[in-house]
Amino acid sequence: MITVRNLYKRYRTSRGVGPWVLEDLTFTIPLRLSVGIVGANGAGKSTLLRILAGLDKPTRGEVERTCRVSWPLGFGGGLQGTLTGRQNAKFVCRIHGHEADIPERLERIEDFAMLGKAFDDPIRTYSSGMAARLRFAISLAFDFDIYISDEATSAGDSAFRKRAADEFRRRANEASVIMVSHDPGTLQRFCTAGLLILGGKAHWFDKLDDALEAYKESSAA
Amino acid sequence: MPGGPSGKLAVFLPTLPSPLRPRQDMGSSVINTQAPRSHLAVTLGVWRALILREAEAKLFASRVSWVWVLLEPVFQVGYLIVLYTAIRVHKVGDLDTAMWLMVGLQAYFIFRKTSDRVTTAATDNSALYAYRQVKPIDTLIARALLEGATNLVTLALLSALLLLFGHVFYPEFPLGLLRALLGMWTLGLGFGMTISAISAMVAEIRLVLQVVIRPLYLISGIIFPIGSLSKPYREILMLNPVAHGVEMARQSLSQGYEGVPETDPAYLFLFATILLLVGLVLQLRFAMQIAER
Repeated sequence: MITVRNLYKRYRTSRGVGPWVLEDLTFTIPLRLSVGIVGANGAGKSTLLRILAGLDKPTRGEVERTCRVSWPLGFGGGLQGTLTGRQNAKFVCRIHGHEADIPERLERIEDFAMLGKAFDDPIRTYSSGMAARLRFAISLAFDFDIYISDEATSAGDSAFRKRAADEFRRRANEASVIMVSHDPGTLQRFCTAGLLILGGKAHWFDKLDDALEAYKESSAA
Repeated sequence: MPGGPSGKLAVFLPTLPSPLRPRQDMGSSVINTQAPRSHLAVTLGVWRALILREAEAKLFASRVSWVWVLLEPVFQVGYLIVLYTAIRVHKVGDLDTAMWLMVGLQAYFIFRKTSDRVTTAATDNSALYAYRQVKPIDTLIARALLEGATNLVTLALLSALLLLFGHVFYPEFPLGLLRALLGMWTLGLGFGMTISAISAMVAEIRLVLQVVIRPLYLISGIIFPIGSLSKPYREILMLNPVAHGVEMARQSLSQGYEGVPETDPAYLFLFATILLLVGLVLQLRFAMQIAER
């Protein structure tokens, strides 16, 4: 469960304090409920994800997590180009405290990413789709209660996307996802509830379709 | 405190209620997570992971990178020894010139390399802040530990090589040598931390520093004995803490070696400790800015 209480966020820029990106957000994301976050570009979706994942602190307010939350899966970050896929995967196992069962986890990552021999090549030789698959496979090797995804599932080819979706569905009883995506189809495949970020405020919808509808109306207006 | 639990605290909250623990009876391929780890365990795990990763990246970046890591100091020491032999200086004070050069250089390098690598650690590893367990300060400390260890390995290699040429590395005060190296390492770490934090706000500082630090090699008494200068010049040069570390390392080799009378271990350690504390404070205070750079 993630509880957000009166969360405010703004950034400090070189020209002083910026405007509020998020203003007075209060909501609770219960366990096993997948939430899709919608909003225009620059509305603060990724900022909110970073805060939920614990990468950034709110300027004011509280975020409380009582479960294991993943890092934000998505493009960029987390992998070092000069090291191989295997070495990078090993690193992530180590920082999550899984020193003892690294071989098993590596096997799982290797199986799921399906990179073949490329798993032992430096990441810098990967295509962006391959890197995304590796990132996704690494995250699935840990049993997080909540996966945070910033457009991550839209990566890779359609076969991989389907496998990723299947894997999440299989885990629906034990894990959920909080995701940002501009593709309504992706959101509908994974999420039940919706959160619309509009003008720095968050609007909660128990049904994702209502959130998408409200988003459509707001952007049309 | 605004913000509530975040960072390492949030990974596995100790208050995790039992229904939320990983289930073993779901019939899935999920590997069970261990019990919640303490903050110290998380940090030590991160350091370990970072060190191993850095070592891999450093030693195996290309097929010969590990050769270069070992050979670079050998070349540095080697060409100076050849130079000194050519001008027929076989003794500095009581010491064999080869030993005098080698130990001085290694003491200098443990400072210089640690500070260089620590200064750039936070930006080089910025991709890793995607994992909330990793904070900029962790990457700095991991690099410093790796550099220190590398330096000890190259010291062993150099002394073995010099033995082949009949120069015996046998410090009379091995603990004194370790103390000198420890002082230089701490100085490097503190200096690197401070510069890393300042450069997050004033990026130009690194350019200025490159120019300022270049003569350090010359004025720290690595290739000429500061002890041979007259007192007023000596006193000015000995304001530089690096020169103290270099002389301390040499003095540990032999009781008979006089070196620079102004050498004071307390001065080096005071300098190192202050820089380390300032560096730590700046790193913690500006952690967010350093990570976002």
